Amino acid sequence: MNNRRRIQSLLIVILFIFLITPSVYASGSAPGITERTGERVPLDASFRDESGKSVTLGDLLDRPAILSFAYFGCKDQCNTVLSNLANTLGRTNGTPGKDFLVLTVSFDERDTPVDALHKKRNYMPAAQRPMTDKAWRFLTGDKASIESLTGAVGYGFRKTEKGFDHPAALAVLSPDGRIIRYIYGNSYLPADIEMALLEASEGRITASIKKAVLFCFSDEPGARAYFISVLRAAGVGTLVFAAGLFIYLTSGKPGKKDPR
Amino acid sequence: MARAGITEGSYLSAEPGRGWLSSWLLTTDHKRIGILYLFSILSFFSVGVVFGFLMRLELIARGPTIMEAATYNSFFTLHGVIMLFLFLIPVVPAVFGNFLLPIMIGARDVAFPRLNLLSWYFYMAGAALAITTLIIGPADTGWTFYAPYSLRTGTSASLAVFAVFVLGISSILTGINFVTTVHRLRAPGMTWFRLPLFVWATYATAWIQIIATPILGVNLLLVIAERLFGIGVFDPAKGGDPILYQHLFWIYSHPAVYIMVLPAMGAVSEIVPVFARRVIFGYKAIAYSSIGIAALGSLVWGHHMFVSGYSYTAAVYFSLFTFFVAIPSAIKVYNWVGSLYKGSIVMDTPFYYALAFIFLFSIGGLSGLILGALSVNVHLHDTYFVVAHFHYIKFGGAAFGFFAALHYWFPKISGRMYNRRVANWALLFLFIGFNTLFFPMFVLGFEGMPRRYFDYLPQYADLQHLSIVGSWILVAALFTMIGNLVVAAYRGKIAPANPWGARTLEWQIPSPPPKENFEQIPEVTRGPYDFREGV
Repeated sequence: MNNRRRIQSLLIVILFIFLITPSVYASGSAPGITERTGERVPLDASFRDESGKSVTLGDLLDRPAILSFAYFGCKDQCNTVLSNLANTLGRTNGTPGKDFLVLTVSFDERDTPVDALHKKRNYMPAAQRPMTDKAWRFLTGDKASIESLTGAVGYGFRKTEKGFDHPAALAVLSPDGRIIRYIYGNSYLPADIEMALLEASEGRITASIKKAVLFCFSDEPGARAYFISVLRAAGVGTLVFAAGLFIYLTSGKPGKKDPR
Repeated sequence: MARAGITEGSYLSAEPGRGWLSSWLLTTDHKRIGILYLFSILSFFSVGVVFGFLMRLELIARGPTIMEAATYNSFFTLHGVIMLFLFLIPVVPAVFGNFLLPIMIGARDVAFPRLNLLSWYFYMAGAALAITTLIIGPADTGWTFYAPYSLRTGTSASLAVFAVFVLGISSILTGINFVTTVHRLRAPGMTWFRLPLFVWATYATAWIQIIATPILGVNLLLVIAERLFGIGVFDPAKGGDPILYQHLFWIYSHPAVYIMVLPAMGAVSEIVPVFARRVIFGYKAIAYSSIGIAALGSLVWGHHMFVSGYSYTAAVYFSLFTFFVAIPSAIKVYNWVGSLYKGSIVMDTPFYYALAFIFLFSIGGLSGLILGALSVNVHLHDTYFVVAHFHYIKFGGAAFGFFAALHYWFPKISGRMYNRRVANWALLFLFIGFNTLFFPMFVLGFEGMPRRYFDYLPQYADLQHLSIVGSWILVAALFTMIGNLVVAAYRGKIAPANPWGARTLEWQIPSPPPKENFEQIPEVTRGPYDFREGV
């Protein structure tokens, strides 16, 4: 009896230790966002703009900026992000190019300025408001520049057979290149952008809000079919239990006995 | 002295051979367990109110005022977790279901009295775990624990998730207990269509608890397994699917809204006919609509995920089913209103609370339809409009229903009357405060104010301030209302057995009820709302 008690309390302690163990994911494995608010992006990292001209982030950043990542061969989430961003830009109070900049950087080193120009011609008009050519820049670069920027922003992505696995999120930068905060997901409210830009212009660093990170991933989760069958079994089990309980209860006669 | 007088022989009187503490903590009496729930749930509710109040206060000026952004993020997680899992989901079934369900069907106790006490201990254990996370570092995931963020965050998400899991077990056990009780322990003559509507609502809720809660349980265990061992079900980096988490989460959590609202509706269905002094209009329609809500409510979870990027065809169906759920809810509202027609209405406190419920719930329900429409949802998603909508349902609906139930059954539970004038004034200010607090959020949402922010743009300042003033009125009114009941529990006038002239069984026995409810199990010969003279 005493021994059983001891084993029980040991089990409870082990369970508790398990529960307060930090996640195995806590170290920040790719892909995903590891927040680095308050830190600076590499201002000397060099990229090519849509005309193929070499520019550094330091050259471009003279006002608050919205930084988005994409790869231009993407057939899925990147397009949703860019078209939703364009739509939101069209409804935002501030003027892109005047009050703030938008930078879309490709994390695929194979993308060229021609691809970038193509994207720019596609998405700038989608905002349906007049914008200067410099308001929204689509940048490409070599592997080293890409990695120094994505590393600084904590943007984790991974190359796969069909493309890339990567998260959908924006980072907002202050004029001096500090990361003010992240805006998660693939759809944005004008107020999300306005609020972040206001903070950026005041240089005030704040915690990010929406932590539900969306992902674009080209692999079907077929490899995990095993878990789906576990879930299916659990679901069927629950329903069988519920049906069994119902049948058992309705087959008896109620209220005949007074337990007293 | 008078106190001992009224509790003599009742469930509140001392139990021979037991100390005061053990007579409560080890009781298997469904009424005492109901009281245990009432006190624990109300304590957590007050904590939740404090968090909500401080979050509002933070918004009194732009930028950080009384807390930092990270603190604000933890506060809204805690506010959500406490209010949903510790207050709204258990409150009406656990308090009034426990106290009244056996009496209303003419039984001496629930089917499994010990299991009933065990549920309370599970509830307290879950609550204790949730509070532990508060001490060792609150989770910043929001109450939804969305993967993959909940997999990565360094804060104590495992513990918070486990807390919710334990609360889920408590909920399932209560569900099994109530279903069995309704099937097996009805008094002779208590046919299915003589059951009070509160019993129907609790019964439907119990089935949702039994069927939907295990899904949440499995889902939460998977999150813990992910965090500990990295099994890769939800993490796209390992070929998992984060959308799967959202599906599993909302398959439970949307029906959970009905776990909160259905029993409150049941309480209102009791109050309306009693104060209209006539048989309820459309008894069967109300009973079946409870089942209808339970069934349809299980098929609409996808409307929480319109922008998650899943199939549009699925989204259209989820949107359609969302509109369908409005039908049984509207049936109830029409039947309550219909019951008033040609009734001999007696205006009294519980009835005022029930009317406030009907009004606020209707606004909540209608604004839900606006959100249920795909096209509009895309614009309103994640704005204050959503916050306003679910507070009208959960606070204006479920919590006001709870307050109505509390004022209706208080004389039965305590054996004393409260000061009705104070209760009426408290309701008036509760109503004003609630609407001042949450109605501006509809407008803010339309104007594009995103939810969850600890800050706002200058153009939103006026409505934010109005809303903050509303929170002050609301909190003051809550204090008055609860204070009034506390005073009444000690010093209130002695209540008669049946102060409202109701016909259901719980009012036919003394207040407070005797230990074993009935001298003799009654023989039921009429419906629960039969107000004809001489029957």
